[in-house]
Amino acid sequence: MALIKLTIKHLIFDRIFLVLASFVLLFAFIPVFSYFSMRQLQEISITTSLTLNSFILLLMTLFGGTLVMWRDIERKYTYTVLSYPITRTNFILSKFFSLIIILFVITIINFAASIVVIHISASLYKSTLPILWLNIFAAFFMEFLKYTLLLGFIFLFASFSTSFFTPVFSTIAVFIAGNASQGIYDYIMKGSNELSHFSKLAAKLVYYVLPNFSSFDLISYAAYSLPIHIQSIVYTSVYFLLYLGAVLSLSIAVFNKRDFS
Amino acid sequence: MEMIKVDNLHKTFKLKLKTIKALNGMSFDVKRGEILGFLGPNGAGKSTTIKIIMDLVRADSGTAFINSLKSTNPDSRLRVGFMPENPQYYDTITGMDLLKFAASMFSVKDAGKKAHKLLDEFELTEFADVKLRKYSKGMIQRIGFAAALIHDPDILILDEPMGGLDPVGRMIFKNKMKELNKSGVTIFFSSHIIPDIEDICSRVLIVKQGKTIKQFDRVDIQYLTTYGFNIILRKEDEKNLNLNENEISKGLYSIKCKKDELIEKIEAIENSSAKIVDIEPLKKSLEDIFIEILND
Amino acid sequence: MKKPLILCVLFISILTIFFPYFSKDMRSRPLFEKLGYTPHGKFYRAILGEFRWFMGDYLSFKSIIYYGGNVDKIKQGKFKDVEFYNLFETIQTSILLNPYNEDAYYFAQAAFTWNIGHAKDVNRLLKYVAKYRTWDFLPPFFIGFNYAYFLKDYDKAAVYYKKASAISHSELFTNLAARYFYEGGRTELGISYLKMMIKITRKKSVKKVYEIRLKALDAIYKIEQAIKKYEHKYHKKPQSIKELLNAGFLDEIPKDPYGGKFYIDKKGKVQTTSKLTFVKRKG
Repeated sequence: MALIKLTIKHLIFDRIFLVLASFVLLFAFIPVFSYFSMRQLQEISITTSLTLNSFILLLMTLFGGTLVMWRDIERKYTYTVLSYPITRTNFILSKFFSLIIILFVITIINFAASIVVIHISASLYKSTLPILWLNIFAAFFMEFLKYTLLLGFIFLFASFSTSFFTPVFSTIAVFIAGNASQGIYDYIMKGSNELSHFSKLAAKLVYYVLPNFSSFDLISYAAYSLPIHIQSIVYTSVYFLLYLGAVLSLSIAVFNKRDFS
Repeated sequence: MEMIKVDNLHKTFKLKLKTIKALNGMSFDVKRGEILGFLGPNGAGKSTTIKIIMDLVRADSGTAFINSLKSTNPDSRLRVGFMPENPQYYDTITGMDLLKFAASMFSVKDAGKKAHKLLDEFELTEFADVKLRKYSKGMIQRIGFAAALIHDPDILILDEPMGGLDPVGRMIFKNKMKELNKSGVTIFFSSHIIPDIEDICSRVLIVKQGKTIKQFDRVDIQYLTTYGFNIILRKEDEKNLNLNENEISKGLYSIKCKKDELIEKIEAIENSSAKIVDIEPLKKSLEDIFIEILND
Repeated sequence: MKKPLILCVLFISILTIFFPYFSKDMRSRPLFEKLGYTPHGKFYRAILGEFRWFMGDYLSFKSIIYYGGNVDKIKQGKFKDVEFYNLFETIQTSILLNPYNEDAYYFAQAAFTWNIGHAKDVNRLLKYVAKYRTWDFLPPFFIGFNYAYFLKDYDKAAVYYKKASAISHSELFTNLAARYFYEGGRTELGISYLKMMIKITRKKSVKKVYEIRLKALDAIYKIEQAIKKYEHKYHKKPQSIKELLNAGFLDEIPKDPYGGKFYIDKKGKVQTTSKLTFVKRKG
């Protein structure tokens, strides 16, 4: 607990972190931005709010993850912390929870800001669609889960890498691949039968291994008030828990073997 | 009863292309109540040994125990205060925060009171609420020492605790270590600064190429550092004793001799008319001995 | 130290068992079918992840702003000065990224049917959009209108007008279809369409384009009505608009808001020297 408190305290006073957090102010510009629209101000403001949240969370995840893991090791903060009577598992999980607490708080702040912003935009031009706040909240929450999973990847890469670049760029690669996997998989599976059985099998394998980030994307459901099936939410959540569990336990296993010299 | 037991540690690091054998059968004990100095040149394996004891590095083979608990068990560190070499702390927090954080990691009660007392002892009271990034290097070392003491540890493990300190800072540290040792704290520290070790250690381990090659206790140190004696004598007459005596002032002569020549010389003097006024040991520094040992 | 590894293996095994169900659920969600569009769009879509929605909106804004900035050139018929090809590509990408985007298809319909003669391509886009915006009657209405007015495929037009009616729960579109398609009132069809568009358009620049076009169609309609009366009375086609004026069926020669002059061609159809309205339609 003390470590979580300290990590959060240390992070929120960090300059880079403050700069990132100040991106929340961009919410104020969303009504102006949505005004460019011809006839879907409300939909644009919802899409933009969710996109901004996603963007802030992405940066927070990348920078927060490296600050908490890479810099702690680089600057030898770990020497002091790990010399206390705590296990390394405890260390990693404390760091992880500090960050997801921060991500969650930011998501909630962003959600609150979007409520205001969406109301303003919606009042400028009457949309034919209702605003489904539950959908919007679900979309925000799923973004939070998505970046929590991505954070797991930073921790995994940072647990065996000593450099700054490896975890950051590997995580960005996972992020892009995880976003694309569903689309590419669909394309290959639906597409021509020219592809050999083997390459289809390979595609399937890659699809299974990569995190499926498109399943966390509910932006269109929120912006265009499409019905969300509870089953999809439940399945994605279960998927999230299992995948995160696998990634985190692997990070712990790697981190446990590591030497800090 | 040993507080720390290090048993046949081996460790090889792989750095890109070359492998470095850091530890090669390192073994020793730290006994209750002693101040054990860990002396050796850079790269001898001091830091690696300490990191294995603190479980920051895992040994390839061999075991380290603290209070009979394996060092890989976090509970072994419950009664240990540790300060790494060139300590680094989260620099956005204050000195007070650091002490309170350390206290909470050991579940110390009335942490605030203890923190204030330690800040006072290390002359940091006025910097209690200053962020660590504004601390000087010496101040960081002081606050680090204070943080290692917050839970009244039984054992202190310090890696180069006085590196980078000015002479005054050194004095404070040495006095503090002596004081703690008097109150029953076992101290194990590494250094490559020999006078520090000479001044306060009750025992010294000398390491070279990943293992201990010599150890001395207080008496050994006394013995080893004396390479000979200076005998002061008074002569009634001008008669030469043929003992290479030099006149230092009127009627007073000094004779320098090696350690094993002392008895012989004394007998020679007693057979003459001269009288021995004083015998003082000739000291060489531990540093010279250290270099001699390393060169063997 | 082996515990986390065992846990990891455990999680992975459960994940493997669970995955087919998860994957099945993903298949049942509205997925985004491929269009025969630019690889750019597909590439963007693949790497953008959830940023695609915003990018889609952004690209349509870019198009609208660009179009707004060039409205004068378009009014003057200087189409070559406007990057229509790039504009269309951008809108296409925008729709591919966010098929729900209302602005994009709306803009495509406004910008690429009348002057540029891309009604066929626009219909392709609109059909794609209609798959997603299942609650929206405008895409089928637009498709129907384009089929009828520009492509003169009345059967297909009727199908889409019916769809628009079904979605909006209003007989309006089927009635329109019946009235205009079979009585050959093409100009009237255009006028009713433009009136509706002016009503539901928010952006002033776009509205203005519609209003000018409406003026032109109104003028043509007036002349056509006069021709009808002339034929009814004299049982022959008038040779020029002046004849209509002399015969008293027109009070004055209506002005072409595009600055051209109206005339009657050899087939007896009303044309204008500005040619703006129908310039490429036949090809």
